[in-house]
Amino acid sequence: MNTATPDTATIEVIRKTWQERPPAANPYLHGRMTRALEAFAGKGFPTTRLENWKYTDVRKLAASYPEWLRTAPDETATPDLEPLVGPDSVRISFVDGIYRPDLSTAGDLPPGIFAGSVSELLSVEPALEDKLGKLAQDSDSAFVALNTAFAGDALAIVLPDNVELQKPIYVRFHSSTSQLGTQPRVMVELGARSRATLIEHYTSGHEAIVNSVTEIRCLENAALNYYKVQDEHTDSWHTAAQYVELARNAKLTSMHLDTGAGLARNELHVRLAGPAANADCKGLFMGSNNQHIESRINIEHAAPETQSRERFRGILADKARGVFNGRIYVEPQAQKTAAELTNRNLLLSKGAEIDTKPELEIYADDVKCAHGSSTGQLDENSLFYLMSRGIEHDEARSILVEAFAGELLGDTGIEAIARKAQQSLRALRKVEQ
Amino acid sequence: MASKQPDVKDFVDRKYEHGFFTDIEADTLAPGLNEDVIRLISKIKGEPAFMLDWRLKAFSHWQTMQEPDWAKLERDAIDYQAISYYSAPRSSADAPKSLDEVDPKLLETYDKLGIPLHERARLAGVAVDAVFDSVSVATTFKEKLAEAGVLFCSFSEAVKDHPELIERYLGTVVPHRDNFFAALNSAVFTDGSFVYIPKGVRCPMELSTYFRINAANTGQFERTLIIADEGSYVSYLEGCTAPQRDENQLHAAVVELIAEKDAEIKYSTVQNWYPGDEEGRGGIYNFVTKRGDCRGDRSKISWTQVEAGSAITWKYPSCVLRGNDSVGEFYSVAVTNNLQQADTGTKMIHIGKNTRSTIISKGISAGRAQNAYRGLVKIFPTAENARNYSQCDSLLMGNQCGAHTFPYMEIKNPTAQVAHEATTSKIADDQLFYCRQRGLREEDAVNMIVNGFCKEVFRKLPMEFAVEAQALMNVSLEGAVG
Amino acid sequence: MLIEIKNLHASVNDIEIIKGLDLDVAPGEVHAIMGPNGSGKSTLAQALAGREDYVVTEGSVSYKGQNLLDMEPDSRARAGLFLSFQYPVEIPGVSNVYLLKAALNACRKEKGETEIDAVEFMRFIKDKAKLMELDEKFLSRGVNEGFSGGEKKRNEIFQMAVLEPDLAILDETDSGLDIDALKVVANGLNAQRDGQRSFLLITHYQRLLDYIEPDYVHVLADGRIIRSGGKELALELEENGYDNILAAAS
Repeated sequence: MNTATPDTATIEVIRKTWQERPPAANPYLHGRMTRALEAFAGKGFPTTRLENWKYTDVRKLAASYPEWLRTAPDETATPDLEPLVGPDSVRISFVDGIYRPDLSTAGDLPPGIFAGSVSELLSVEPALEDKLGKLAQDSDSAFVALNTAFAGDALAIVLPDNVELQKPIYVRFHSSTSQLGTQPRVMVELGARSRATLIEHYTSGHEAIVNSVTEIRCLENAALNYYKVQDEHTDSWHTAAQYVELARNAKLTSMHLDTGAGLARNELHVRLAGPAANADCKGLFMGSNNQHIESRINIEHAAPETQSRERFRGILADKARGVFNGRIYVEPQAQKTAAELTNRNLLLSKGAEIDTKPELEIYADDVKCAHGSSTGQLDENSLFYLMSRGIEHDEARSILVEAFAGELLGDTGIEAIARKAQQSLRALRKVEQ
Repeated sequence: MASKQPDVKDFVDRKYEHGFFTDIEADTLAPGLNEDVIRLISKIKGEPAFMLDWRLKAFSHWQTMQEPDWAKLERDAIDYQAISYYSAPRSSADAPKSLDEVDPKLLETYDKLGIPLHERARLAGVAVDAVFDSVSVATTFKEKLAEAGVLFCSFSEAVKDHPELIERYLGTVVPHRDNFFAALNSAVFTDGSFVYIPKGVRCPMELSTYFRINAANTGQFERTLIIADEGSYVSYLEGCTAPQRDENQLHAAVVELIAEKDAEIKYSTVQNWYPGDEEGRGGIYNFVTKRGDCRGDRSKISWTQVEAGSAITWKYPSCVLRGNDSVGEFYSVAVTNNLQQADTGTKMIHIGKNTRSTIISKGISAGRAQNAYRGLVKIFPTAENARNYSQCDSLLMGNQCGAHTFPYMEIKNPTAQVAHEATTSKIADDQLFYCRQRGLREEDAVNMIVNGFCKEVFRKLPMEFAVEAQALMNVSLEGAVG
Repeated sequence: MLIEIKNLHASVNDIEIIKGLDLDVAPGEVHAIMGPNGSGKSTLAQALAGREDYVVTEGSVSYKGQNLLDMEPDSRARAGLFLSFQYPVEIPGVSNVYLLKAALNACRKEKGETEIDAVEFMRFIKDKAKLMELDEKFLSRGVNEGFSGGEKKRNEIFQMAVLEPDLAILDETDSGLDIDALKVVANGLNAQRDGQRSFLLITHYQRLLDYIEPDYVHVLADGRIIRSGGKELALELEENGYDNILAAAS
């Protein structure tokens, strides 16, 4: 390139920040981080000229990035982290990107679960060298590359075959320092026939940058219930991507709840790599004020007789903007695939906006694929019906908004997450009124 | 059992029925594109100065533009300097006044294509403005239309006879800098059709133009402008076939529709240009910009298309729903076989209040073809109570083809209701078996089911076109099931 | 004989359903095949019509002296074998009339006859529709598209009346019909008994046989015919249920 792209300067500052950090002790890791930094520098921050970033402009985020990456974390912060799920769970906490045994129920950690620095992780589990970064490729995404380049503490859950974890694993990523950038990294592998429930919960006390990457591999017949709740400060920037690969007969059940951050973007990538793998993914995103919330799901059917169902709903109030992108991709060998995607959106106020694109890309003929999307406001007839029963207008609206979300939250599995969603809905309503 | 799976490979063996080449001496400009070429085209056409200015503006803008690459199409690069930008049949210098004056070889060509101009046009009550290469050679029914005050003529004539209408409307829907191919068209277009329906007039017959591409190395750049003044109605039909050729030919047409208050335009297309052979050699590159502007309140524009030909189809007939209560419709069947690629769909831009749009798209993919629907529904903050319904269904025949759906919805008004549904599947085994149990041969059963799949679109076509479309469909998929 | 089935074995998804079935039907005869759920009744119907998923693994079927199993499903149909489906499929956009005209002409072409002209055809099918008390509007509607269960079954018998087959296999045509619809279907069917046309009535209940008198009744259990008799066998079944007959047979 002979012309300087607008963010060349930004990239250079980020490179300098990286160089000033002490190099990773593990030579493999150091090499990986170096390559990731170059991968990022080669791409730069995405612009809205890129199809996948058409509706989300990260220029302001990019402008803050170099500075916020330099902010020092508070290693001694003792935030009051009220857990989302009850005591009957394994709790793992990261504050300002640093694993905090004191805020975790580490003693309860079953074998196979590790939390701590990535280099320590690789020395404990050298086999992970081959797996880390295999699903989330630094070359595919500038944000994944950034995450790898600045890898700090990470979480790894590696369950051998035939293990059924009874308690859900509740992972809290909290930013307590103002204007801090963190790069959470999670890696999960479930052995054949193993089962687990994982909840990732992101919060922040102040404006922060969070850029997380999660890689999940489910071997044959394994089953994972995955939840991600993002409830950060409304001046925060949150970018996240989960990459899931499912082997034969493996099953993913997931729920995404996005309510926080000023600009949030979540990507869920699921590859149905083995025959009869199955994914059932749900998501609810809601925004108010000037929030910009993007939810993306990319399902790749790569083996025969795989099935997926995706249900995503958005609720936008005030001047909030929602973006949804759902893609079903069926490879030629994935015959007898069944896939169905629905996206429904509710616009509650003038000024609210939704940009949605459900896509089908199909290269196998013996398939049944469908998608549907609808956007509208609350149904006037329903509103009138409730009011004719004596319910006040605002209350009637609330009931209908909750019902809209409720249809999705009905079988959430973890009551606390459904409750959390209802709480956010009520907050949304207050703003709206 | 005795029955076997449809052998899709066989189904792919289809020869282009309209494949031949007419040997006619053409008055052709040397390949290449520069300002001089544009000046020359304008001069040959005897255009007023405003036209030349407009062409040159378009050209200078085009030079700053890049070919769009966002469509799901793979193709060879186009060498714009290797194309000849003007070609006219020899007899064009002295344009024929009637069919008798037309070069008999041309008439022969139409006969081979199954379009006996004089006979069928009269029988069907259709006025035909046939475009051979780039110059009009025959126009019929002019008098009858003139009685109603309808202007229907070649674009060149319109520039000569009604420059005020051209100056007022040209480029107001598709500006000369709209997109790469539209800009190119604006710079070099040689002819096309012009229609003006005066206030309150219901056009007494369906208007039809058959486009052809013939001479070697000749790009085809048509420009169509249809204006329906207040309270008028017109139905316009466009059908295309092309002689078989070995090289890729570029086609970059522009169609502009303007519907004033209470006016309605129905625009139907059957496109069957040479798609290339089984190995993907040859075939037309078809990059079309079609856009309708529902300028007035309660106006309506309806696009119906059956896209069966071309190696590459890049086409998004759109409606700008500016007037309050205006209506946009898009009904499409796109068939791709062998190595054909289609990336087609529509844009419905809702600006006015209570605007409504409907999108019905049926894609059929066979052989090694790729067929994509790409659509945009955009609801502006001003478009109170806008409504859109979209339905996109894809049918796959064989396991080497692809079917894709890319609907964009951008909604900035909470009172809007936008709904999109899409399905992709193959022909259901139980449907096929049912038809065969009633005695239908497999190929007939497939044709019947495919035609049923397209019914919603076919019934929007004028009668004689619907029959042609159905026949075309069967020919297009011939051999795809054994 | 019109059709001779000898030692027929048929499987679906590699599971054997028909396990050695013998049956002869002569021209003009009406045979009822009764049996409990899962006995293989529908499998027999589908296998005879040539459905791909129903694989014949053993035995032979001779139809009009030809090897039926060698024939494509549509050749069987054109040779006069008609199946009234238990669950008729919907074919959106393809009108009933269109399908029937194409089917009729395919049969005529096979016999070396000329295609029926449109006017004659319309007159012909309107008469048949009247017979089935089928509203004319059904003719132009998509095949079974949005039809009720009863309408679908009536439409099947109507199609049979138009195509005039030599052997009609009726797969549970009575299921899902109320008594009035059942009578209409039975009348339509009886009107087509001309001493030459043969019928294979596949049914779970005796009810249909109150209106259509069979010449023979066969009880099918676990893929074989375990008892055959006259129409009185159906009444015996109605009275005693399948269990007794199955018990007696084993």
